[in-house]
Amino acid sequence: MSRLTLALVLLAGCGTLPGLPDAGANVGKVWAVQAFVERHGVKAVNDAQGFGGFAPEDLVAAPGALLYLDATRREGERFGLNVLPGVSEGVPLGFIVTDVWENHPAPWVQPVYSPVTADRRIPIAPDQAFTIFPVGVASTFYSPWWEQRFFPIDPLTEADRFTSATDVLNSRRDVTSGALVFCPLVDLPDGGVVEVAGAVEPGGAVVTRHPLTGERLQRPTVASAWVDSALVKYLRLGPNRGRAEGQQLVEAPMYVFTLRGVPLATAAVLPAGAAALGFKRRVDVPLPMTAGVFVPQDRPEWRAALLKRQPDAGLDAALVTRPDAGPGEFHEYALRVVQNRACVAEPTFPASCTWLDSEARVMQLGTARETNVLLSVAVLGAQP
Amino acid sequence: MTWLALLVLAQVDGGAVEDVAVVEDVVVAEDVVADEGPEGYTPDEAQAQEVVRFTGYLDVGFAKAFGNGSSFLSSDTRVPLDYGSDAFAPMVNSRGDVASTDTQGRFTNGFLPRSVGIGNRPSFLINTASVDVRVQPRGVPLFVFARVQFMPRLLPTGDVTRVDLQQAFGRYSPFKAHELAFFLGRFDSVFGIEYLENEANLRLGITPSLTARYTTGQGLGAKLFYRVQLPGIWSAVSLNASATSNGTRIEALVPVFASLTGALVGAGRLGYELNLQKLQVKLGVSGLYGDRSDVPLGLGTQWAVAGDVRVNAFGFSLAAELTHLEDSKVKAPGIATPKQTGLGPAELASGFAVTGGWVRLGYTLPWTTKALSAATLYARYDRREGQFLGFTQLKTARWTFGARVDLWDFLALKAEYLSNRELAGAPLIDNDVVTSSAVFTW
Repeated sequence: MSRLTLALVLLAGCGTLPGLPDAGANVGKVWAVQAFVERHGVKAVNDAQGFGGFAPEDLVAAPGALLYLDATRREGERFGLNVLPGVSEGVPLGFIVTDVWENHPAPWVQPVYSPVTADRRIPIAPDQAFTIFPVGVASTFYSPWWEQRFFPIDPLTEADRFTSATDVLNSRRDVTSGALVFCPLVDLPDGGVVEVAGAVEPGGAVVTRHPLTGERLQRPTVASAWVDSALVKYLRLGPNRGRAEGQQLVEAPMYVFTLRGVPLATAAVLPAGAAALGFKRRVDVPLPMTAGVFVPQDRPEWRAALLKRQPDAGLDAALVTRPDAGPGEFHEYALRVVQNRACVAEPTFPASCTWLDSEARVMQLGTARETNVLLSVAVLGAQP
Repeated sequence: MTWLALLVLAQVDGGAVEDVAVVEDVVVAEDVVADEGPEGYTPDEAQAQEVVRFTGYLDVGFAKAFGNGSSFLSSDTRVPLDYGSDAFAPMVNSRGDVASTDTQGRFTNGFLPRSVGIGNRPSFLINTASVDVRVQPRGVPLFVFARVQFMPRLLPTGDVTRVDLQQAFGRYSPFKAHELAFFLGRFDSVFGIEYLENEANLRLGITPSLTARYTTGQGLGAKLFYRVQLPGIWSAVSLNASATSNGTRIEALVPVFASLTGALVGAGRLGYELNLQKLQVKLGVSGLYGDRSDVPLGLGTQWAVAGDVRVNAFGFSLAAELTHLEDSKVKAPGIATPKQTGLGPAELASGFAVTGGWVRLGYTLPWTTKALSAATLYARYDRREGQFLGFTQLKTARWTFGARVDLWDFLALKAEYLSNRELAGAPLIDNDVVTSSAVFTW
């Protein structure tokens, strides 16, 4: 073998060099709502098809399908982001997940350009002059978190003049900073759109409800916007849903109980002020040996949902109920975790139990462990 | 063909090292100096055969950029900043260094050139002090070349002076009668034609084109050069091919001295040249394919094609190059992998595509004197359309006007004006440049 041939063979010896991170260690993923829809129907949770511990059908309901944890109400004609159960400081809440990052750097905050009137700087209705996002979901640097940048236009003559971030920058107009807003892009490649899950109720209105308590929740609207002169749809979740320092998001924990490493479909525990801290890191909390998960006896589908996610005998034994409870009774405690499941049988239930339904109680266990999963979470407030 | 004819061809090419592969065997031999030290040291047999020759150049510049010296608009908060503007536009020297890459703290993602840090302030610069050493053992078909370059730089953050082993290769030419040579080490690109003018003393003008960043990097690996002369039709056909760990991009964009990714890139150019007394025509097509050099092996691929043409006749020189290059997005959807560049790691790798090129017309005035070797006027038009996946496409252009005066075959004085244009995607910004250069060649 000649010297040159030898050198070429050596050069062609393609392997990761010692001491350097290999591809597997670096693999990271980011999923937006479009990916939830794309993989809908895939049942796996813990393999590569899952989204940071959530199965696609956990996160999004297909048109006409039963809503998450609901055996009676069906999603409308579009895909809908499922309302997931959570609890914060002992109070049940419902939230949606719009994006999941796994083994991925925290996203950066991009600007979003919102037109205001030139004279009094009053925001212009989103259907009169569209908001402008600088990147779409195809970008490596997409996230649903944007710093609002107000730019003045004449709504009568310039409503369609600005269709890209470059247009705004080139206008050299006096742009002023606004709040951090949460606006996930929800248009689908086939022209469809993803909304928040809800069912048509008597009267014809689509109503979003908490999956456990049935409480009616606010339903964010979908609006149009520009990305590089192309129209897209986004969910108007608005400001006060997250915090950023500069262009970097401030994360908050979202505690998820696990069994044998598998995230359980119990109510996630969120810290106080959860609605204003929507950029979350999943923090796993192993289910204590003596703990139980309360499941009202009149909702067998909730029990089934828990076991579907983790079909484990240990979990089956940990699912506890009150046989003497009436229909609808104790639903606000559904899918919460108690520290010692024996308490559920006590006559003073639910006061007899130590509920692991606040950050402080969960942290007292001393077993919480941060994961490499980041999530964009929108807590849906009660419909006034 | 005689060595003299080859020398003429090499000069037409600008005298890049690769193209003087055969010529070196003759030229260097003429400069043999006996190795006789004052102590009467008698070298051993191997040393006695060595012929060492030092050459080099000094490039002293003076430049002034307009605006803030960078391509970044102060009100642009898009992320990453270097995906939305062409940071390479305000070049000030033949290295492609720009006046400024100051982002004012905004986030960038590894698509930046090197900077001389002068912003919009006029400044003298030592662009490059370059030293070449050539070793040609007598009677052995081997040749060793190394080029060390010194780039004194001062940024607002402090001294960032660099010393770069820009080329270092050994060459094996097995046949005296054939222009066939194998190279190992770090050597010039084989893609397109602009690499032939990488060095300030060889470049007609001062600054590289808007697409030079993709084609003019020095690769580390192995290379083959073969040229067949067709004397009956005054023509020649050549093949230049390489397998390198970093491809053909400049060192600011990809790691060079170690493969941090494990990738290997193949590149080559097939050329045809017609050499008549009053007219030279050179045509070439280039290709490149391999794994991406900025992400771990197997996560993405890169490919590029280019065509080039050069015509020299009656004092006019026309040169043009058109390039298309693509980086695939990483293989798994949404995969996120740190990007490795020559300036350090960046946060994420994105898919990328660019089409661009340039055309340059020069005219050498028909007057020479004992001192004035040549005086040339030139203009160049560059166009670049590049897009990172999911980001807006940037369409930019540049007009370059300049003049070059060569004195005593030792000094080249050059002056150039760069008019950078943002046609679409990139925000409009004043980033034109006036630059000049005095290149002393020794």
